[in-house]
Amino acid sequence: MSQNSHQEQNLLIPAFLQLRGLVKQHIDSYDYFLTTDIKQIVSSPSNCCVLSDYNPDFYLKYKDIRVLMPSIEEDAVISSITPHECRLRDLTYAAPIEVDIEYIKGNKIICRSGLEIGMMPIMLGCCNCVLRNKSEEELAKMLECPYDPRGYFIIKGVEKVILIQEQASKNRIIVEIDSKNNVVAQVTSSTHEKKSRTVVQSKGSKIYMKHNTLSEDIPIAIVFKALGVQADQEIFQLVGTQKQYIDALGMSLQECSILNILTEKQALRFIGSKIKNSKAAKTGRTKIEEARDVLATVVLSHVPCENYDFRAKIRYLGIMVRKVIDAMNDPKKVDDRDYYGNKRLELAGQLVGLLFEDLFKRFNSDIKKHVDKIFSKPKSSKGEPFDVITAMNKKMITEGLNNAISTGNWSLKRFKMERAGVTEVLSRLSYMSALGMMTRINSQFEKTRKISGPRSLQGSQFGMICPSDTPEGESCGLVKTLALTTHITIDQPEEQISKLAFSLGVEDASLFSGDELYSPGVFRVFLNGQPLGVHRDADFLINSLREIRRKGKISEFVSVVKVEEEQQIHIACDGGRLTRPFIIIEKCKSKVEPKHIKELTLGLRNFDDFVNEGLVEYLDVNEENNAVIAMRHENISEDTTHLEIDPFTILGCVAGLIPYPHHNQSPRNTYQCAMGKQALGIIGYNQFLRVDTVLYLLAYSQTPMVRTKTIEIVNYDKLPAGHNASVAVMSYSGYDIEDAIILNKASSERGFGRSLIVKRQNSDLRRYNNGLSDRLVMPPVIHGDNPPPSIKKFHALDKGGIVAVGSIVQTGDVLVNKETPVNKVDDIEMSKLTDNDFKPSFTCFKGPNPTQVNRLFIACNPEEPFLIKTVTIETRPPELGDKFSSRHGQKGVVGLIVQQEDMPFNEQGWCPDMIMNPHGFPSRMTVGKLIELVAGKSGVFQGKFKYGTAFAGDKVIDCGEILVKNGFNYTGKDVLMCGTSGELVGAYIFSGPLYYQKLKHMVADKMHARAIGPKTALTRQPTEGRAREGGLRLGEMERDCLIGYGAASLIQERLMYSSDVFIASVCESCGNLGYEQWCQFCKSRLNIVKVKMPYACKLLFQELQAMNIRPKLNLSSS
Amino acid sequence: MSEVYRGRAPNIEINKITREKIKFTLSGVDSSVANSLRRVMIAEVPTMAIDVVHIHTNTSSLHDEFIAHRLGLIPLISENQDNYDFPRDCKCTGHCEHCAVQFRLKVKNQEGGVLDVTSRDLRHLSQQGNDVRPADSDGPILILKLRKNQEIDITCNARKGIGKEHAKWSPVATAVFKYTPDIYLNQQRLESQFTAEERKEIVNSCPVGVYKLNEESNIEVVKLNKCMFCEECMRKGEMIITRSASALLNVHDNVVRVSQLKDRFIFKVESSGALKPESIVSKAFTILTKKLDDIKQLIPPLINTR
Repeated sequence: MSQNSHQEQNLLIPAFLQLRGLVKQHIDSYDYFLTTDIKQIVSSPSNCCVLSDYNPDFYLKYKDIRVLMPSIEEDAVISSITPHECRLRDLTYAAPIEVDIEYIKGNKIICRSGLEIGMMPIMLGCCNCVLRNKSEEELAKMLECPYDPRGYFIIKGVEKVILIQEQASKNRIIVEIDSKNNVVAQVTSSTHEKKSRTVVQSKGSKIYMKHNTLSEDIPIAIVFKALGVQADQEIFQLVGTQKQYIDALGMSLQECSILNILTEKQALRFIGSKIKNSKAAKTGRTKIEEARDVLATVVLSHVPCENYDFRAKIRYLGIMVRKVIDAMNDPKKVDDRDYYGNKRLELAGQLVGLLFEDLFKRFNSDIKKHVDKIFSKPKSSKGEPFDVITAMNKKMITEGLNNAISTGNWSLKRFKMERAGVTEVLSRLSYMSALGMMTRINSQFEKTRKISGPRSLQGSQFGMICPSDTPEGESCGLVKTLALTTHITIDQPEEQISKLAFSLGVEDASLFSGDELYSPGVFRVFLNGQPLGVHRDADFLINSLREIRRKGKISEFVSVVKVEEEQQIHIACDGGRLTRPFIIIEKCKSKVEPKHIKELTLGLRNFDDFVNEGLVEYLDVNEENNAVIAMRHENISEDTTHLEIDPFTILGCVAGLIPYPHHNQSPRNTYQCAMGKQALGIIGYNQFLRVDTVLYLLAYSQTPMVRTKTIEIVNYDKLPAGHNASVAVMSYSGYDIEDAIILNKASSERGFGRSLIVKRQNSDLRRYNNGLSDRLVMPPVIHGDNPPPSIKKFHALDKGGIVAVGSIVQTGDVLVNKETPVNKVDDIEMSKLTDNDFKPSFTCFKGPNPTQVNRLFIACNPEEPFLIKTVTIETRPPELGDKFSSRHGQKGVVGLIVQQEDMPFNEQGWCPDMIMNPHGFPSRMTVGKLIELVAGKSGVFQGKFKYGTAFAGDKVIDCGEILVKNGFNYTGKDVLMCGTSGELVGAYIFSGPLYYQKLKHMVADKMHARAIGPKTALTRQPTEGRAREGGLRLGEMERDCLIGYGAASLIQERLMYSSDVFIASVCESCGNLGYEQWCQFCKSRLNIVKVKMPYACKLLFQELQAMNIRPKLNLSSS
Repeated sequence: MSEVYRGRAPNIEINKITREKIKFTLSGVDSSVANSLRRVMIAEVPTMAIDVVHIHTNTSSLHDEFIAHRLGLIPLISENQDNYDFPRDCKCTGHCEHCAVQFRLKVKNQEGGVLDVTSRDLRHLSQQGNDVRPADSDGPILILKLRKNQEIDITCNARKGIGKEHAKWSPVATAVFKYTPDIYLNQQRLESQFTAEERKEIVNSCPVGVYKLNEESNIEVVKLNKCMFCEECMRKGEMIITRSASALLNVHDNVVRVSQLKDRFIFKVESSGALKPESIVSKAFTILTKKLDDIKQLIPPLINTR
């Protein structure tokens, strides 16, 4: 194969992402929920029917459930809606949930199909979304941007993302060492019904089982006995008959006989007496029955147990005990908590599924309550027989779902789950910030705990999680980002896989006692953590399963892993595992051949074909351990089984913007990942049609000169955020120290860094319970050129009372001249209403600069009958103090704006847009930035984009050659002349184009000063913060300086006279505070004197008095 | 120093004039004079540019301020700018024919498709001021695009101003000078101490090809003006000396030396289209002398009379 075709294999990545999109994981999981999971929930035995305790004949049975296409019902008309309409009108993008039911009405069986039980929020881009499979033109007609990632919800006009949640995997045994140095094997069981945690623990030389429902630890032998294992020998066989197991178990068995528990009944009674919150007395069951019930349903609830057949549980417990003993003897057997193979990612589909099931259960229990209430009363023979449909509350499911998604609080009663911050508002600061949010992984780990383990980069995360993109500070390492090609699996049915495994020669575990499981040379086979059986020829099983997978007969996301040292084979088909694609290598040859790539470029083949034909396969984190993966073609050796598609895919989409990241110091890339999300740019093709609260845009955004493959894959080249600035790396004037940059005034006047701030202000006319509503009022007529401010603020209004489009407004100007009725409660006759019954409540414009009103939206939705949205656009050229940053974590503020003629220039007429101080380089070591400059400069003269893709990209040598060919210095340095004197600058200046981002932090939004202004009501001290026009605090340290200097009067002036001075009346005789020359304590006004003190001091005295402490003032005259 | 005492005769030699570009050599002056000229050309030669925009209708996809900014940056032919006053000097309030030229941009797309609105759609509001018009001889300048039924109706005033105030009034795209290179070749040493191969190395070291080897394989300067003072040749020469045996001779004197003639400047002025390149230069001189004259006026009369 030629070198060229090796390069071409990375064409697979665009093909991969074209097929999937970057947020495919969200959409896939929601599709699964809408098509499969929701049906399973409704058809599960505990949910599928509602019965009545009082009427044995009654039943309500759900036969089917469907989610339709999104629509809205207005004035009894149902019409379909588009996502953009929802954004504009503050609607929820949701679709009706329909069920087919069969129920008893009177004494007839009635079938109803297509009954709506609520509205399901629809994820944009999912199978029920109107945007699915639409062409660019069709999307444009729906006012949607073709490059929008989708995968979020729109709830009441707000875009909400359900973040990916990281969790320890469920239903798997994890062996750990606890704080007391005991070995602990724990498993978190999770089924649709129950969630519980079972722990097998060593304590000294004995082994116990621990569970939340049990008040104390139960010796493991007792548990075995309670589960029906009578003979000690059988217990040994279940765990292992080798010496180390017998030794370790000896003490535990002894305990059994000490407690004189020898039979199943004795053991059950023992466990029954340890159950917390025992309900035995209430239900009239014996302790033995209760204990058996707990063991069957609560302990290890994920292990199937029908009719008290405990065999599967016994085996499972045996495995747990064995693991504990193994770990006691060999600390290496302890599992790594942070290993990513033991982690599962929860996606929108699963989370909404949990929520929906909870709500559906509640919906049914509400119906049941209602039904029971009806049937418990004596039947009235008259009238219509009771119809259960009247008992259905459609709002419950709708509002439950909407509330959870819009607040992010996931509270599930049955799991006692109370999670906050599951959803976030989709950040539309820039295209990248939206994309970054869609690929973000949130960890359930507490932020406050100071352990480094979960935060640090784990080896098993390689290629799955971006090593650079994580925030700094408290959530560092806990919030992660998916790498470019990572795919998260969804649940697959287990039956097919287990059948296949059995037909491939797995011997069913239930046929054996313990002993056969552990005979040497035999591999134990697990499916999703559950013991399936044993197999004598591990390699045969694994190879055939993989072969079948490559043939496409089973899902490509099934993983088969051999764990040699444990003699185990793990098959996994559960959801939430991380996988990524690799090229399969057989006999040192890549299965992807040049002809395949050719077919790909011709469009004859897509990425799925590569997978289906067994040329490319997905491996999950665990299966990666069984593979020998070559990074590049030249690394392929005899053992190689797989080949990376392209090394740059280890980075995520945000880190992928950095050119030459492999030349940078690592933290710089992390800084850029944070800053890339703050860069102003183009948000989407529909940016001027959107009505976000604030939208920051860049007027003339440019596609970067030095690109990366990621940039093209994620369409950043079409929705860029920055400028190719001509940068001279030199010092100039001293206004460039500490990372400040010098800007060319002419450049900024020609459009460099010019940003648009689109702001929206809402105002709604409400309707009140007494029938009155807010009203719009004509503004007062403005006479003369210089009206008073109270009138002038109405200048921008139309006669209708709403601001005129195109007018310029300033802070304080009225946008909507609204009046609210004074009395919102009592009934008032409309005809008797006068102007006095209304008080003004206008909406005013807020913003630092005069701004033009661009658009007005007047809409209505079911909740608000009259919604007015005012959109203003402000144009902001860069100014002193605005923040800029290159793509290498090098931020700086504008320190000086210089006239063009003062800027240095070269003999060809070039002059920089920006001057950057060279001191930014040595300590930061951002070599990538230097290379970007050279590459960019050479690209300019060649007329081509240059590539700085990670671990690849154009070489500096080649770029230098191009520069020399075009008559420039090899290293990118130029001879410049000083703009002010005309003399030659005494050094060669490194100069050329660099991609610069303008960040959202702008001086105009931050600058603040005040002379006098508002005070807080309680303390009478000046308010705090810019938003409240607050004062600038003379803090403790400043005060200390003044004390040290001895400026007593100045302190008094600052801290009292200019703040909250108060003249208090103090009674000299009793020392109490008085009021208006009167001492209430002495009932006299004789000894009252006036004392100046801070109001806060007076307040303190009063608060002390309220606590029965009497501060006494002893006055003396100075 | 002696040169200064001798006194120099300043001289201008025009090398090339085209419609948009002028190249000339200014000699016999100091860099201060050359730089003053450059600075005046960039920042102080007045032109006309659209400055005040009234938007009557705008249903296009760009918002008002965006369009206003784009209109401002269109170069207007300002050869007759002398006929207009600076708005601040004009006696009128608002605008009048002495200080402003009014344009109207009224376009509506009625046909469908995408309609380009360009500088050619700018119409004069009155007969007066027809000499001030968009400089679009190289093709129309795109202002915005209209979809079907989108409409734009704008009146705008072009006013006189200078580049110092806003870059849109700057008449030049580039206005630069360079120093004349002065290359000294120690031919004697080059011949005696350097091999032909090494001489070739020096020739090839120049990225712009200033040197050539002649028939006797001696170095010859052929394109002097191309030199951009990168000193690659000097570095190469030094390198060869240090690595060869001649280093032992302890001769530090370089065989190639590139320096600048400090009183000879090659100017290159590219016009934005607002003014002819030659008039930019001549106007710059006028303005420069006027500035000096203005300062001269400030000299107290006592000295003036002496």
